[in-house]
Amino acid sequence: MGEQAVITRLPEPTFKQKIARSKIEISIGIVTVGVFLVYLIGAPQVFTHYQIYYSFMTTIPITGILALALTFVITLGEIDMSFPSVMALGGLTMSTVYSNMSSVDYFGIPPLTLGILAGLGVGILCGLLNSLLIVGFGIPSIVGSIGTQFFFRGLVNVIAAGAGISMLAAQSGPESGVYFALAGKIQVTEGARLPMQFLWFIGLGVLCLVIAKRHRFGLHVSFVGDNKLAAQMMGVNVPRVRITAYVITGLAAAFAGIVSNLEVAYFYPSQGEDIMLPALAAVFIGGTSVLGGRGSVVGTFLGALIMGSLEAGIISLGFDGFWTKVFYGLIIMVSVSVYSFVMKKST
Amino acid sequence: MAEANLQNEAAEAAAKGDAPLLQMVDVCKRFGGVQVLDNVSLEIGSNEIVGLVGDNGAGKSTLIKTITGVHLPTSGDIYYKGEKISIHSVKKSRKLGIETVYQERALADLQTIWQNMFLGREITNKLGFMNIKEEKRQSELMMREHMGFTSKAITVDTEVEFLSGGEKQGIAISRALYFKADLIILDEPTVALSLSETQRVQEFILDIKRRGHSAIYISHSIYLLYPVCDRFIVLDRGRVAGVLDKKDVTQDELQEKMVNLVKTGVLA
Ligand SMILES: Nc1ncnc2c1ncn2[C@@H]1O[C@H](COP(=O)(O)OP(=O)(O)OP(=O)(O)O)[C@@H](O)[C@H]1O
Ligand SMILES: [Mg+2]
Repeated sequence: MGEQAVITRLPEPTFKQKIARSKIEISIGIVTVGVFLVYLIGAPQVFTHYQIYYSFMTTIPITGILALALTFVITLGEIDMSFPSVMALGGLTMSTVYSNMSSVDYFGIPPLTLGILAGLGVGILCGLLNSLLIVGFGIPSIVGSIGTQFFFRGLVNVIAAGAGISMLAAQSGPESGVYFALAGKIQVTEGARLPMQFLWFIGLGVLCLVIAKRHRFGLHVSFVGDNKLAAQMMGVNVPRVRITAYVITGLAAAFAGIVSNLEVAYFYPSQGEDIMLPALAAVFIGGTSVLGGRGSVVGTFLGALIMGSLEAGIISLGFDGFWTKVFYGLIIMVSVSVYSFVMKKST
Repeated sequence: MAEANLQNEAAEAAAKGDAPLLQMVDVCKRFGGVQVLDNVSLEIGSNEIVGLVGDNGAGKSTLIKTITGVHLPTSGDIYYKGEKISIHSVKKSRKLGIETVYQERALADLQTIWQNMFLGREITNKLGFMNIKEEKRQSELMMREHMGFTSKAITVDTEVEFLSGGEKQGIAISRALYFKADLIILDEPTVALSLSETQRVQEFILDIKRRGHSAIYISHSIYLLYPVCDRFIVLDRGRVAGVLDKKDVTQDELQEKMVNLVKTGVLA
């Protein structure tokens, strides 16, 4: 087939197409380097010291892990608005189990470990409830997950009754190793410590990248987001792909909630309330299309670095804290405009 | 009356080992309140090319989608090689040896050629990680040998959105023909194809016959269907209006019958 058509019509050469396929990653890479150069030049007194990077490595992974998981849902052409509440619910579950069961070993599992497993389990359940509404009942994802966002937050409020829960005791105790594995600090050199959550962020980032590029699931996510009907006709189990994406998001949100609890050794009921827009923004400035079919894990990773460093960066540059959101807004507007332009040209 | 008889027949035929390749028994399909397939019963023999004809909206595409597992019949049974297909799905029909070129082409534009070629049947290890190198290699083979893509500008890494309509169809067709199947279904495969490309599809279909396989060929062009088909099944508003052997009808007669059917509502 197609001899005539091929000869009469010459599309772009391969190497150009190769660049075209990495355009997003290249763009966001340049932006990331640019942003950090601006920090370095504008506020060398801050950005030539390890302390600021340490603080980034402590905070960014929370937003970053959420954004990595959201990349799959958004590549599907859908959205999950409930993750901030799932974060809180996961953290609450872990903290509650831990503080109520300190004296008993359930199933031979010590309390912190049990709490973490319970928290992650609740995250999976949240993902399944989202799936039931969105995949099962066919409710648009934005509507369904706004519903569950309120519902999960409501549960947190009811159960916690406005009170926080301290996790301080877990830092020492017999399970300090578990605590360390999630939110500990590795002493790299005399003056430099490395937060464990940053290693998790990198590890999960690599895992997501491999899944997106090399695993059947990642491929199917792109196909479902691109052309759901075609995917179905070619034998992709579309509901299963969608459910898996929501469960991954629920699991990641609970995990982020747990890590963020352990980091500050405290659960508070409003946990996660301010993380929704930065996490979503990280995905969008990373070049994942809200229309579905095209996603970039590398983009999300870098997007999280930008979003997570912006506030500190802006303040170090001498701006008033009130300016933060103006810059958030600018970065988002500029990056999505660039992608829109870049993608149009390649079509 | 028909159902019990046909079911018995199917069972008997299966027992004797001369069951038709595919048999549909009283298949109905509703979408909401609309009855799109109304007690469709038909057979496709082995090594037989069957032309499926009917007006727009007659239910041809819906019919083949119940065969391929895209749609589940509301009622009725489908037998393949004499065995009833119980839990149907696209995966299952492929495993049984049914390949399809859908009218909609079923390609995803933003994904590459090799990704589209192997969609739904990725070469993976046990954990589901793909052997991308092998998929690309085989896609390359399909492109160069089966589709005759000669241009170096289009590679397996090209996204489908960069292809012309004919090239896209080439992908959809060769994807169905590459994976050896006993029953190949082609729903309007030649729409928008150039004359020479259409001729190639015709040759592909004759080749299916030569290789001893079967096909269901859907087209509005009787002049394309007639030369390559052994038998014609006429579908009219969801019902089988008639089955015609090639030896009992000339191309012109078939054409005329189709026109009359639209005008009068009866196949005469
Ligand atoms: N998924 C669906 N939901 C509701 N109605 C449908 C669906 N698919 C098909 N139909 C309806 O079923 C009828 C038959 O459609 P179908 O596509 O099978 O016809 P066709 O014979 O293939 O027509 P054409 O020659 O135009 O391709 C049409 O009236 C169509 O609107
Ligand atoms: Mg049709």
